[in-house]
Amino acid sequence: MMFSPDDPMRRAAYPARLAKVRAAMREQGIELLIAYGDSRHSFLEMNPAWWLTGLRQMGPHMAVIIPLDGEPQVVATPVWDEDRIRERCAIDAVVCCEPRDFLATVETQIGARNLTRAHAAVSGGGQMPRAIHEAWRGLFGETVGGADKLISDIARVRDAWSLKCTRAAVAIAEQGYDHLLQIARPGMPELQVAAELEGRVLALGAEDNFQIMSASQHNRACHRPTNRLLVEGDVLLGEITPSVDGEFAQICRTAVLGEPSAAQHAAFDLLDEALRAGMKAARPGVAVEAVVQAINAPIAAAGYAQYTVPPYMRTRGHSMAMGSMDPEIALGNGQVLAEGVMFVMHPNQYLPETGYMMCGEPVVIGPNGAEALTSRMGELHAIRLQERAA
Amino acid sequence: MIAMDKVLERGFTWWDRALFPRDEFEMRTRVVQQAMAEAGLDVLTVWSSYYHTEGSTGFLAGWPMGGAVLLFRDGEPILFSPGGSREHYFAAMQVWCEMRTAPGGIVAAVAKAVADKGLAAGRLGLVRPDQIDVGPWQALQDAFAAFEIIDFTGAYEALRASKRPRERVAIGASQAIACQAVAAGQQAFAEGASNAAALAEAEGVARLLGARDFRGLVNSAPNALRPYEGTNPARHAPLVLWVAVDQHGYWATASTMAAIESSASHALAAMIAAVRPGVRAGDVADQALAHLPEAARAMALSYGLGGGIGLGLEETPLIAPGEETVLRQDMVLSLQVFAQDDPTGDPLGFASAMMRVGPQGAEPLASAS
Repeated sequence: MMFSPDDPMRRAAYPARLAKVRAAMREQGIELLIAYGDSRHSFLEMNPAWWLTGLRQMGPHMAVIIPLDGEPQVVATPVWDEDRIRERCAIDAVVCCEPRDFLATVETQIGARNLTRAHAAVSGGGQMPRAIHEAWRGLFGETVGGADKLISDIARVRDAWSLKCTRAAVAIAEQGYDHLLQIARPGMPELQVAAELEGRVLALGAEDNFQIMSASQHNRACHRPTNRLLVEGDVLLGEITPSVDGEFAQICRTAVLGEPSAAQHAAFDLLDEALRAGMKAARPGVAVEAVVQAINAPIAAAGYAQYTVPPYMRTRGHSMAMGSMDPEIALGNGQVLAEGVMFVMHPNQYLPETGYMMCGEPVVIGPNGAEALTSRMGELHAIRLQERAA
Repeated sequence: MIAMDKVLERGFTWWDRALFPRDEFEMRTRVVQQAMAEAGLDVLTVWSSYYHTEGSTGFLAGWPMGGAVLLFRDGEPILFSPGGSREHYFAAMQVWCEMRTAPGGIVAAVAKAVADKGLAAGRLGLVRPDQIDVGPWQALQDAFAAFEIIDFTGAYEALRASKRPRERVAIGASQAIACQAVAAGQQAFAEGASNAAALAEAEGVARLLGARDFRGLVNSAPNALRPYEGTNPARHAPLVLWVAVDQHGYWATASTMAAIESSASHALAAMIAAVRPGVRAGDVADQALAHLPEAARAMALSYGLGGGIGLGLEETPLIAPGEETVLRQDMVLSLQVFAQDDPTGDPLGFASAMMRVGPQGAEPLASAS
């Protein structure tokens, strides 16, 4: 459900982001900033070009050229996508070219503005191919700097537009999961459950979605769907991550095909306790390591300290990109939470009695802790087969 | 065709051991090792990005998975995965060769494996070094300073340009899914769905039928193809829908077809007629352009005329003017023409076909018949 380019909040958001970026450029002595996009939009890597323009690029290259003064310029690929590019791009000055002409076109645009000797910095968000990275050095010299942190430090505190898109994605994720609970039944292959969930999420308006959907009597971890047939007693794991206008939001859910056992209830309750402890601890000014410790504490107290590290889990949470991957809720991360940062907090993990379970919410940091963006927190859902048969 | 990458591959993930038994990969390994010996390479490394898989790694490892493949002149390949831990158990089930995690970085893990083999110097071949990020690239230069480093991409890709029989079956299976996806989109459109909804329906059907990944474009705006960007009630007739489906790592395409008497169809037919072993890819493209009005050529070239397909959606050869690559038997081509004869009025015309380069000329893939 990509919002209209005329959405008032959208129209206000991109000039405001540009102004903040320019203020930071001025502070850091940067005369020219280039935000690069390679068309791959992963929730695990920031995408500064989309964050600054509102344009989901299709071609392999895009550059947003931002001088300290004067109009910004977008160079986008390919030519045949020009109408859509102009419709969606929040920056008016757009030049479209074929991918093979990208670097030459960027160089021409920069030369036309007498910026080839500017103190330049580039943000590619970890997406930049090495050849492009080396091209910037060729254009601006070895002193060209990185600007990922500049963008990320601004974008990590979500603005109203980012949160509007995120909330829309959360609503889609919840409705998608409700659909999964309605359709899952014994005899259905995992891939069918995943495909039907995917179809529902797209029909609800997500332009993209990352999901993991798998099931087992004892999950070692979650994984991509196979042709395994669901059977009674299976624990279904769902990581559902729709995107709306580029903002991904993730919910992590667990359901049992049938009546959950006492051990399953106990395991899920433990993870839920860990999640709530993490949410309570996650206040502005708190180090993310302290949040990890708050999450791990009840799990360790229950005798599972050895399971609070890989390979029994991956991470306790992470931002969902666009402008920033900050914060990552992991030990060894020196980041400190700020009011307005948003991420998924998920003490998903393996426990020996019951296997892997998922329990995670998208949260935004408020003055008193993390606030869930979902309409209801996850629970251990029971898909009651007798009701299904009736 | 440039289309929107999905955030990550997330569909049906399964190694079909009946179609691709272990001996398939042993044979591929021998072919590559023979080429290494002829080129005097002691070590070969094949690279892929972390998040999006690349056909060259899948060709040896058996499943298109991010990371790097290491191969010596003897023995089996080793796949190094950048992921660490949680995913390893499942991922290791999808590949035939040894899989190692590399939490400290793939370059370091590869360098250690080479040292463990007793190789302190020699000739190191790289396939797709463009996939190596800036930091790891420098680390690789440092770790293999005593080695002569050779870009082996062209030679390696030539080894897999002609598709092996089992590969052609896999591509055919993907094509069957792609065709059914297009049919589902057409049916939805006929029943009143918008163009965008028809594309979403096509994707849903493709995933139900076993697609691991999906790309699609539809004319959700007048006279232009667009990706799915959420619900959009607009209807533009006739429906023009293009899809690409990856099943088991192998890609195939399908589309709605322009009228037989359209320029797009004539140009496609001319390309098909020109396809045979020994012909330059550029000559095939020239045949398409010769059958298009002058006003339609630039846009047709911008959308692209197609090229090789297999473990990658876009493989060698590229069908474009001036391309010198010579067609070889058993290449599989995805050919397409997007043309609007009169940009001021005509509806879009899109025509496409997937063909095997047979000994006497283009042949349809088995599953499409």
